[in-house]
Amino acid sequence: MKQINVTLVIFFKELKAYFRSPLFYSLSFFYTALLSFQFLRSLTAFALASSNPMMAGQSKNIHQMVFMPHINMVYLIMLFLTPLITMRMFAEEKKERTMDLLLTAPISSTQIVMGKFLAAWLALSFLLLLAMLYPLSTGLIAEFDYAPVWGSYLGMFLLIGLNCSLGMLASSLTSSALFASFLGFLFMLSMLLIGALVGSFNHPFWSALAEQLAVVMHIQDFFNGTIELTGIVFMLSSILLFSFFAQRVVESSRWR
Amino acid sequence: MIKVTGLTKLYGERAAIDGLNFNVKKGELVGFLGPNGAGKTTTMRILTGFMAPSKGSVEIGGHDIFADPLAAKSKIGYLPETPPVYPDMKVSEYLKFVARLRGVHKDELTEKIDKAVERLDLKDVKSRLIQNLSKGFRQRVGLAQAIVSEPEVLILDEPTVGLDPTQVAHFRDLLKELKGKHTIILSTHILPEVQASCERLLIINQGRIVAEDSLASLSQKASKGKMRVMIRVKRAKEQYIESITNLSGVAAASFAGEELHLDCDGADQTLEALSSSVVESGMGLLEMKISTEQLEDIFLELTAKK
Repeated sequence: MKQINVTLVIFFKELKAYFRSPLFYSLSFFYTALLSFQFLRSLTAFALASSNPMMAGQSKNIHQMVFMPHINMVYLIMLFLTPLITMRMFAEEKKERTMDLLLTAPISSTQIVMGKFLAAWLALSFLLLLAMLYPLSTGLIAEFDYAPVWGSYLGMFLLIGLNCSLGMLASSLTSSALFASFLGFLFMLSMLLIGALVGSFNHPFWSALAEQLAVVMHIQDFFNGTIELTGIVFMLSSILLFSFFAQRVVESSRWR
Repeated sequence: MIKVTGLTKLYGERAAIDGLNFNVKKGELVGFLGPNGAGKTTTMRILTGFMAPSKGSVEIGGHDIFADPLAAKSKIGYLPETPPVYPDMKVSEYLKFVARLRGVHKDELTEKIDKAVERLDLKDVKSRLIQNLSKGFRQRVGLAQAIVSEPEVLILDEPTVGLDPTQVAHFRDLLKELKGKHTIILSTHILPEVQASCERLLIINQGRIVAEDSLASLSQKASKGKMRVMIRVKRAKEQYIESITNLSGVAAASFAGEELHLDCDGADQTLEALSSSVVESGMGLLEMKISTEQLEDIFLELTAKK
């Protein structure tokens, strides 16, 4: 019970810090501004297409025409935004020397990492929640199948978690927030680029392996509305793996 | 309460500290003294579990800091070299965070925070952001943080850095108040600080303990049975020099204005005879003290590069 308690102390302190930082709000502003602009355009295009008698008979799928570009936009912005949110996680603590406080308090490095990770994930998920307002408000004026939308958002939620753990790992490696954000971005990009390797192997084993390791492949399944257990397991275990790495890095600072 | 055995920390080939052994009893106030780079901070960091030693062990209240870190750390309050404060937090909020982190129960939270705020005189800045505070205030917030959970052991790394003279005096009073209730290790290179408050001294140089004793016996050892005494009188009378020098135990004496400087063996009966003979001479005894330069001499002698 006490173990959970201290983790929560870290968690709430971090969460408060996110929602108090001007950076978070300015990022949210640009994020929502971009989303609004893009969503409105594709929704208008879709409305025009469906009211156009010339195009009657052609398949008009709101998910393909409106929600997919929208979620891809969220995905793209998040890629740039996540490192900026996660860069401070440990780099700042080291620079301000508050790491001394955390490491000498009766709390394990696992608890520190867990509390920090969950707070960052939740803060970014709040941005995802904002993005959900777009399809939800569309639901007020039109009827459509929500299933693929939920699938996409579940995928995004897991992807944010994965990117958070990568960003946290990057932040634990340096005491410069700027470098941490760059490194975090690099990590996230590399995870995505594994997908590009899929076609480049002749051997069936290696291409199958690359396919399983490719975040892009799993995330596309989610975006298409198919929720597969392998995808969920892959994302969660990757999160666990990189969080574990971060915990090792934090713990190893005692030995240097 | 604190038991340190064979503590060694290597940075590559260089040993920052080399085989430290010492014990600190419950309620004791120990001064940890040494020149810059002697290994004070490294020792403090290992004691608090921030850093692992290359060899040796540390026990806090019976718990090994590495085998059982959570139990050992829950007994420690630590003020590092740089106060570990979050610039974007308010003082009260920060203290609350630290108290919760150290496992202070919800019901005692307000009471303990108020106590720490009062002890460090932080009432006026309680609701200000730490980033807007001056260096001295930050240092005091750092001290408040160390004592807020009322830990059994306090480890303070150069606690008076950045404090103004009034605050330094305040801090000494605070130490006196904390003494006995808490076991305290105070690291410093400021000599009067140790002189004013510490019962026992550990002098460290180049990673090794070069002296470990009380201030008085250190003084005696260093001066090899000699003690420099300063006596301030109302009317200096040169003719009494001889009778004072003739007292047993007194070596040399000389006047400098209204001050009489003399070397003696430091025994209690010598000091007694000395004071009564000065009184009888009618010079008007105003002040009699053991010279404060002595600690400095000991320090310089012990930490001289060999």
